[in-house]
Amino acid sequence: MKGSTLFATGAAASVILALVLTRVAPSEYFFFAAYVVLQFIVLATAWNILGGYAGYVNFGSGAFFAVGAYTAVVLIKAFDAPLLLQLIAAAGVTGLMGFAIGAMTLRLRGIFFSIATVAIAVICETVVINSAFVGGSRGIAILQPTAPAWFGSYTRLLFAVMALLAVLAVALARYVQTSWIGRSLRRSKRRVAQVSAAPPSPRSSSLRWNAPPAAARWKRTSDCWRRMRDWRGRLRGN
Amino acid sequence: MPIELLVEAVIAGVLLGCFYAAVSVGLSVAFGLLDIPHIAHPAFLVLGAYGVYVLGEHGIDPLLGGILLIPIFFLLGVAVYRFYHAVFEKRGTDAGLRGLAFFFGVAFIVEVALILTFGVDQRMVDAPYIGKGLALGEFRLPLRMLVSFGVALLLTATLSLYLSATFTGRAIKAVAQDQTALALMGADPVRIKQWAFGIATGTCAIAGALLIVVGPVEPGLGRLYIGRTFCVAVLAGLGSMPGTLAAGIILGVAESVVLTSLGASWAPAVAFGILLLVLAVKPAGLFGR
Repeated sequence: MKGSTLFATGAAASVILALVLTRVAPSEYFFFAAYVVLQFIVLATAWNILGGYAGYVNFGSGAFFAVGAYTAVVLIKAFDAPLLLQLIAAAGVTGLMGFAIGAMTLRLRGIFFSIATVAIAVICETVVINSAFVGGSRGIAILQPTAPAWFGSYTRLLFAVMALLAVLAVALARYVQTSWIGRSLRRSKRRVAQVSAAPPSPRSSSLRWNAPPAAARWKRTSDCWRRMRDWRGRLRGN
Repeated sequence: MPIELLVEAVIAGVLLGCFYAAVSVGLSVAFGLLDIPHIAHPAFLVLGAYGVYVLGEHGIDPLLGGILLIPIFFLLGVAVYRFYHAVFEKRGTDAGLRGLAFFFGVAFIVEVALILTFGVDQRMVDAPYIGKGLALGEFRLPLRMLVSFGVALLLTATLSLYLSATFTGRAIKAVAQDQTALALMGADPVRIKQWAFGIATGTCAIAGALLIVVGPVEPGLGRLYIGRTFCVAVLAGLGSMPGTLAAGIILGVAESVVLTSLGASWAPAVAFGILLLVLAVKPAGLFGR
């Protein structure tokens, strides 16, 4: 069997297994614990796409997690949004935020990027603390909605959803790893590793480490030869 | 905001800013000149403040206590750098990020050691200049801030002069520019860096004294200062001493104005906001080398 077929089969089997478990496993605690485990699979996979493939150490991934959670909080408080809408909106908001912050900070290398991500986490925290609508520094808790009849309890529903998300996250990471995105991320990681930790300059972009174009290289080499010829001529007294 | 309030905020900000510069000069040397991700710098500051507190229990003035602690902190810095060099720097290009994790751990160990020794309560010291104020027309300036302002200026000027006028100082600047070239000149870059890191840690003793003069300290205070010190060091342009002073004042004034206009709960975001802005717009800092 081909690798991707095997992966797809495994992924589908995992989701089906999770769905079956919601019908057969008796203990509510099992679902609560499994939910936490699956959640960390999603978070770690997300971190690995940037940290593992590209070598950017992100200390602010908790901030993105929190922005997703607070997006859901806003939607629930504003118009009691259903879970699916919360998921889509949270993914959209954090994705957009990641894109904006990436455009701003990804040209920084190594530790400078890491410090910038710490900064983002603290700024997000300060904004939330100062927003009374989402609970401010007291935090917020919401009442658990009633689950659809098929699942029995809301924890079971969350477990099934998180299992699906974990499978999706791993599939996405696998796609990133094997596609052109992964190849360019790894290349950028190697190039960054070759350059020692120099202070960042506005012109040094870690994603722009390509060699100079062939014409420029040819010009530099030919300039070099021309200068050598000139010097030799001068030494001979021409 | 009324103009008097703004003027008062700016004056308080300048005093606060010089204090921020004093707590950041060590990081400017360690991170700016030596490229060491010294995230434990604020933890060493708090350690210095507690050292001054212990000496203060025996009736020693905080500033004198800070000066007495310099040699101990210098040796501590040398020891930490030797370890960092042997374990991380020698082993190649990934030293920055692994070092970051290492110093993060050091900061935690210092914090926990302080909690185990002194508990989590706030500690303060007594000195003739703490708790008094200087009336200047309509404004009233706390004397402790003026003292920290003076010491901060002196500390920054001394370090700046040391780095530009003495042989070792210039060698430290040279090691920041080109380590290989320095080695070719016959100087040992590792020994120069070890010396420089010792100085950077030594300033933590004085800056720690200022920290406990300016306000009470607690073991977890270091975490608040990570953002501030890194903001000042990066805004200064990595390794520039006059830049550190200017950057400290910019941060101090910004924080003070935000504190007066928006409220104290927004203050933690100021340092990190400026830091993010500088990294995004002008990563080389204001006075970049």
